[in-house]
Amino acid sequence: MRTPYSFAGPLFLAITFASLALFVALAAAAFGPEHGAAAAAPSYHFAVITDNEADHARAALRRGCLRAGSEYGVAIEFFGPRFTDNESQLSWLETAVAAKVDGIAVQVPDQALFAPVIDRAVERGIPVVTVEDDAKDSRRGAFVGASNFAIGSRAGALAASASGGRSRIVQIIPEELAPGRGISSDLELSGFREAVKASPGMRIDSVLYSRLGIFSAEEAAQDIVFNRPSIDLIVCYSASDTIGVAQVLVDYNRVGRILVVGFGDDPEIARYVEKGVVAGSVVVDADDMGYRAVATLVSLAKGQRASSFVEIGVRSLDRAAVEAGRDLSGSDGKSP
Amino acid sequence: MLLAFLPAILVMALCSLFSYAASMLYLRETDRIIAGSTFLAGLVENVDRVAVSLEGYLVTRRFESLNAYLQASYELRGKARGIDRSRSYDEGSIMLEDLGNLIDSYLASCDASMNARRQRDIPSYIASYREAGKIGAWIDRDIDRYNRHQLGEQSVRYSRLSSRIAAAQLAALLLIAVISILDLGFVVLTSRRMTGPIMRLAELADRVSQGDFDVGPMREATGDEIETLSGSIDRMVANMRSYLVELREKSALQEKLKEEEMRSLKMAGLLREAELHALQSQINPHFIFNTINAGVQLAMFENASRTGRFMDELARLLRYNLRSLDEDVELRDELDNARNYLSILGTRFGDRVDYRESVDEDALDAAMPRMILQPVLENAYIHGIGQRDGAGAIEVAARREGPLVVVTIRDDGVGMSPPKAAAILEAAVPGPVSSPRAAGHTTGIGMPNVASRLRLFTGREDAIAVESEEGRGTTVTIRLDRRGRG
Repeated sequence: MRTPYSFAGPLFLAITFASLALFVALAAAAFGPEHGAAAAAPSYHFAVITDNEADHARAALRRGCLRAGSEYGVAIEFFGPRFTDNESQLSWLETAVAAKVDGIAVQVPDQALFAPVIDRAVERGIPVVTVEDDAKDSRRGAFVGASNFAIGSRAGALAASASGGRSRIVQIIPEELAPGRGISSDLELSGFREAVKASPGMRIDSVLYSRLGIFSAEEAAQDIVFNRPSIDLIVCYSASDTIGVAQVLVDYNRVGRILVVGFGDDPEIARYVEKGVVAGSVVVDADDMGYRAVATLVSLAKGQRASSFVEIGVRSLDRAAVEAGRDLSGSDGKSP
Repeated sequence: MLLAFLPAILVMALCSLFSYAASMLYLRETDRIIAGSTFLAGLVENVDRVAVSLEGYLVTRRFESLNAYLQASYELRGKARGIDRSRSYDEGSIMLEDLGNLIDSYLASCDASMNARRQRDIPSYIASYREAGKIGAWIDRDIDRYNRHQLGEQSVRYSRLSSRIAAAQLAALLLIAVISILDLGFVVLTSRRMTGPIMRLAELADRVSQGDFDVGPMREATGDEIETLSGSIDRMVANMRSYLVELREKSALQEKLKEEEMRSLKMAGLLREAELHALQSQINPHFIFNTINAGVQLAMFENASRTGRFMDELARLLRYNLRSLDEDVELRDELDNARNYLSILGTRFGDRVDYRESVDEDALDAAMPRMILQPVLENAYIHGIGQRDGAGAIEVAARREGPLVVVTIRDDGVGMSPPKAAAILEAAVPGPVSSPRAAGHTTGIGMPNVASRLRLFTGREDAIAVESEEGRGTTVTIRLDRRGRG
């Protein structure tokens, strides 16, 4: 390579090196380690045991737990049956105990069933907090959740304002909260009663207990639509009941004639609220609940004292709140 | 050239290496999954074996069963210890940690049951056995959960890996394409650079082969063999051109020489003819010569010495005249003959001529053709002095001038006009003899003949010159080389 081709030598040498470098980069991109957060090893390993893993509120609860987990250095493991199944849920609690986790947060659908296992966990030195529903008589370290009285009174307030203080009311309560088995339905009902006491026109007709999630509430609503024309307001205390009842009202064209006060902030419920099918919904901040549960467990695991009742606030979701929430969700992207 | 293809070759090699590495990576992933599930399957089997052997012992309380249980639980404990229980946020690692702890709990329950059985604490051993059974089920569930999770994880990882590799392979292919295009361009460029000069060379060679040497130099500065080739072709063409010019000059010279030869041949022919004419027109000279010799002897017998001398001079003149014209002589011989001739003329016509000679000694041996001076003297005598009243003088002088010997023949006769003097040497029509055949001429040799023979002999145009003026006589100048032919 002499004079006229003298440019070619360095040029092709440069191309060779460039392609080599590019190739190394490609190989590194293809075979190199995937870059992820190589965080320090967690100092605790907690188990969070809930029912019905697919629930919207559960997703928020998980988010809160994980947020606290990454903040406090805790690895969080979620256990629970796919659908509400107390026996299965209990077995998961037992598994967590046998797996010697450092702490357990459990949502208790059946106090009598869960209390002995909670006690056994505490005996083995595993701190336990109950979440959402308490097991008052167990040796759990703390209860993290909304006060049922507060939920009831919030529902009563929503009912009174939606109906203008005059209606015949049916309340649908999930079976796990039924008196004798559950814990708190009395509190919810008394909260509700307290809230509507000021309006003499509000008359509580009856209290129904829903069993199989959405289907049972649907049956009850259907019964009300066809057989009990005097009823013009239904109060639900679970998200699935709320959705079921709202669906029945839409199907039988009773929207506006029968009011619904619901529970939860599932996207579907928010949609019903926005359309006016559901007058308002009582919402417990599940994200905050998860966060506080983990935070409480961390203090318990460290041997620190913790308040035995960590109260989570209750808010109402009405049309204005849905519209505001949409703007909010647009900005923080947390709630769908 | 090779360097140009280096990147392409390198990248292609790297590409195959890349594919190899990718397949190795896939294989490793698969291996890991299989190894993991093999380990877990073994674990499940081991848990079952512990349960079965424990059951066997609990039922039979035999030493062999206890042994089997201890061995199985020992193995399981070893395996459980092998499980990575390091704490991590990764779901799979958490499940493994759970699994390890569950196995520990399981073994603890099993051991508790066995010990209770040995102590015959029946309610306790049954409770522990039940507990162990439950934990065994949870272990299964945990393994299932872990497997499901791993499968999901692996498939995600696998798809991410394959998409990364696919992207990298695409990029590599693009790289190859780009480099190939670059190479192609380079090849086209290079071949153009190579064939261009070659085609010009071929064109030039074609022109040269058709005899057109008037081609400019190529001067292909390609920096390779082509440059060398074009340079040598340039030199070759230049050489051929100069050689051709030389050849032309040479042939022109040869032509000239040939022409001259022709002229001299013609001249020789003319002389021969003249001799022939002389032979034809005269009696055999030898007869006359011998006759004169006889006359000389007769005069000697009769003591007529003057007659004898005259006859002898005549015989000598004849002898000199009869010798071949081709024979070269020295100036000395010519001068002897000239004196002889003038002496005869003096005897015939009385001393009308005053002959003077002034010759350098060292000019005498200058070579020259025969019968030069006699015709010139004859001319001077007949046309110069003969046509004049009274006696005249003829002077012959010879002297050296550098490499030349200059001979002058001067008469003080009537002379002639310069144009005539110039014309006298050039025969208008070269005839066999000089035109006016006046009385007193001994030979048919005229001045043009003398001039051309002298010029031929010396190779000089100025070998003979005539200067004259009317009434002032004539001077003929002859220039000879001092030695031999020119």
